[in-house]
Amino acid sequence: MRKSTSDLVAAVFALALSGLFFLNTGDLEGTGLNYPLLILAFMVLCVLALIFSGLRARQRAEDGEARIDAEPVAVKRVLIISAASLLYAIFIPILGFYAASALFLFGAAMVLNESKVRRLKAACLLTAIMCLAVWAAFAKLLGVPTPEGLFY
Amino acid sequence: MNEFFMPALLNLCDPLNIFLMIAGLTGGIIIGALPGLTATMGVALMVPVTFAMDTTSGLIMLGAIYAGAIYGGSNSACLICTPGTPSSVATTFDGWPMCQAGKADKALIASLLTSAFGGMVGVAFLLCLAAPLARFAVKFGGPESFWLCLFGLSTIAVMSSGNMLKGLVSGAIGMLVATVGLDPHGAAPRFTFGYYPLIQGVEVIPAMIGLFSFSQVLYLIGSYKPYIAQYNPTPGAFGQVVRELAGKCKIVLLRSSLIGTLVGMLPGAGGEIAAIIAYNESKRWDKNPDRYGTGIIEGVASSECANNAVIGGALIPMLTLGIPGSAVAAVMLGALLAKGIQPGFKVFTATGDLAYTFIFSQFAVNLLMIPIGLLLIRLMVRLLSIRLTFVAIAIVMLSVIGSYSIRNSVLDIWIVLVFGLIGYICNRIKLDSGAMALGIILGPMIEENFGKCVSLSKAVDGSILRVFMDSSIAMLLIFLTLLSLCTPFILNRKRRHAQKHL
Repeated sequence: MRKSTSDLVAAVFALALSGLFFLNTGDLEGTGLNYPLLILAFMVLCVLALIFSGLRARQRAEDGEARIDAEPVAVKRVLIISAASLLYAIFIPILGFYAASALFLFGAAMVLNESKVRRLKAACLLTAIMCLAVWAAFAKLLGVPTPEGLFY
Repeated sequence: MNEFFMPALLNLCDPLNIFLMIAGLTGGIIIGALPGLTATMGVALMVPVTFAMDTTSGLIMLGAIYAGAIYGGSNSACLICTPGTPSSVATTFDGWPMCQAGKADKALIASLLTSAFGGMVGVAFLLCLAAPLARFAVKFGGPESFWLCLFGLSTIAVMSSGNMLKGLVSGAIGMLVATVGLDPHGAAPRFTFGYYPLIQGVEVIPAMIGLFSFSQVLYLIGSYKPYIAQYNPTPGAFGQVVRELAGKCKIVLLRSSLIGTLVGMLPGAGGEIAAIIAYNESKRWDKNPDRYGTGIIEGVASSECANNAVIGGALIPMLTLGIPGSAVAAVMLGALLAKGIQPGFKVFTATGDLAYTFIFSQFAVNLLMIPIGLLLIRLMVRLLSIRLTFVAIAIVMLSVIGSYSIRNSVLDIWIVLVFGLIGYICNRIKLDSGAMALGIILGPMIEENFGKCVSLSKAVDGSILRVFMDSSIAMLLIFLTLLSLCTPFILNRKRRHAQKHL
């Protein structure tokens, strides 16, 4: 991504976020309203400056502008772990922490592990070690409660 | 005072107390290294255990857990770019790049030694200057705390000197996010977007876990690396780090320890603020500030030194005035009160043996931290030899349970995921997650003190400017904030000037 493009995308992202917050000011009043409004005003000023800087950079060096991010990304793997994590969060209150964790650990290890050798064994081992370690440290030793659901 | 020294030292040599220091330290380091488990939680969980002990032994153990947990946070900060406690956010800035460069052992040893050093400086202040420093801390009202936080926030200018605008936008986003929840002034729900659980607000630790840990998982999984980082153990790493620290980091260590102690004394300002300010100051006063953030020992040293010096600082107002300087100090204060000991300056006279045993135990704990920490480092670096995929999946599980355990709320799990995705996107478009984290950490304190100043101005004569600039401490902090904001411009000008003359 070019620097100017990243500036413009960042500006649009920040502007959308400030718009979302501004539209939700609703019935707020007093300092509870003025404080976020001050931040929003400051943010809009910065965003305008960012847009200006992005457009100027684009005009100045349309062709010669250096890319600021050349590192390749395994998009498929990022999408898989993001989706798996979202499903994990959804299933925790339904199945219970340990059942959802076991499913997540096993599933993610099976799908994301690129090594073909002993994939099933590695996934089972990871699931067992992590579930036991977290249960021993959090539930038994520290007495920290874990989310409960249908199963343990 | 001197009559208490010998009994205190004898108390300290009790085998039970030595065992409690070692056990407390080990437990504290492990708790600190686990994302989501904080020093406050570790100490609070152990308070009931101390009821079965005598007061001195109980206090020694709580102090050891406190010191261990604050140091422990740096382990995960360096190894997996996940601050184990909010105090180690600034440690990730240089600790993680050092780990990526194959110097994980050096980063961990530096964080261990500087934590011990900072801890001892803080305790030395507690021992020698408790009374005058406590009186100074009491002078910090709403306006002074407001400017202190803004001074902390001005770090963004130095931190994001490559693109200050993006740093400022990121910081503002963080501050905006910190306003979600119950309005602290009118007690009305604010920015809940129709989702009722958001009334609890965005808790700092899950947001940090998301921004630094979950986003890092996405980055690591998306990279084509087989392991988190290459690990090349350096023969004689301990000696090398000691020489580097003693040689070129003397000023950094002293300045950061002093900042940590002073910030620690102020109620509400914890290790995270101290570490950020100390990091900022080290970067600002360095001849070549661009080195910071690339993986240098000074960056790790300034952050770790400051956050452990906070411990001694936070105990000063707790022991002398009964005002806790941090959340952990508040829990310890509760433990003292439960034992029937009323903190105040009388604690140094009426129960002098208890007070001095505790202070000396803090020295001992910081010394013991070095061998125990070294032993644990050997175990923790093994993490780097596990395949990245497995570590990343395990981090997601630890992030989830760590964030849930803070207030037993499923909302915090969602905060981790949402902030993780935001952090990942921000990294792609080069918005600064560090600046955003600063905004989230400092936002509530800024708002609270801003509200106090507004109320104060209404009570006095309606001039808010007068309230903001009334005291000499506030004026000094305003000057320092302006200086901090101008630093990148001054440095750029100096650099251009130097290039012109080459």
